[in-house]
Amino acid sequence: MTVTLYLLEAKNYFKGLLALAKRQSADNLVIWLTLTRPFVQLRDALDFAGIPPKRIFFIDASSGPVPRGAQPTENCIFIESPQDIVGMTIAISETLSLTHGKRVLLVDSLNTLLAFQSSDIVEQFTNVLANKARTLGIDVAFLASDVGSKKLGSIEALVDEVKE
Amino acid sequence: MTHSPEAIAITAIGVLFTIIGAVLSLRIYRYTRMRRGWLAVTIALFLLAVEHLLDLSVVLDFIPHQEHGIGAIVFAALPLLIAITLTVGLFSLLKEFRRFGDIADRVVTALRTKKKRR
Repeated sequence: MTVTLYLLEAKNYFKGLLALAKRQSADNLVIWLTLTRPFVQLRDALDFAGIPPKRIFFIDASSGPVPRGAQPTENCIFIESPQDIVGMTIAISETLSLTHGKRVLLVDSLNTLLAFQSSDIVEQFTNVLANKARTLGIDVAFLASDVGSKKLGSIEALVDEVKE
Repeated sequence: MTHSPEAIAITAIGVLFTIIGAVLSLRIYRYTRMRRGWLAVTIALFLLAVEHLLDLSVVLDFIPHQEHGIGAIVFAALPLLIAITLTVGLFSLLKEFRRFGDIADRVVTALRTKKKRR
């Protein structure tokens, strides 16, 4: 079980993200917290890249408010906005408690989170998720683009390794 | 009108504990993510402290008992204002807690749908 911060090159961010998802979903259930792109776009991109979505569960905080009475979507739950840290934490905790086996939590991305939250809150959120993952024995991949790497200084100390 | 020392002591203790409660509520407000709801509850507690302070002032004869005019309206309106603020705050908190429960339910539904379609 490892908590990793992936610093991806900004211009190749999406490519790198899909490559990581492909690698991780080969033998893990990927719990993908998306703050950057809506679920629908990711689902299409995964289809296009030939990545089977069966092994991925999305927590989508980028698509905006969920309409009242909306039908439940397979593989995805929606959180109102990236500002809703409590909502995201509940969704992640609930998903982790209801799933079993090899899992990896993908957080995409810390830059977006930092655009909506203060660095203190992002740091606390990262710390909570990292420690929850360590307790449950699962991997976590925090993603960020190298553009915002200055802001991520304190977060680097909370993870086990940083990969570029 | 003179009041007994016991009545004065009880009113003063009431004021003290209301202020402590309001300050604690303000400290919790810094940590809670349900900001609007909790802020309203905090404001209600501070208003309650003000109301108790006014009561104490009357008991100590610092201000006369108001039966007419603006003073009387303030005395009568304060409990109403407190009740409204508290209700608004608690309603907002209830909405937030329901939303948290709703998120958990939606995760269960989404995971069930996923399993069925596999």
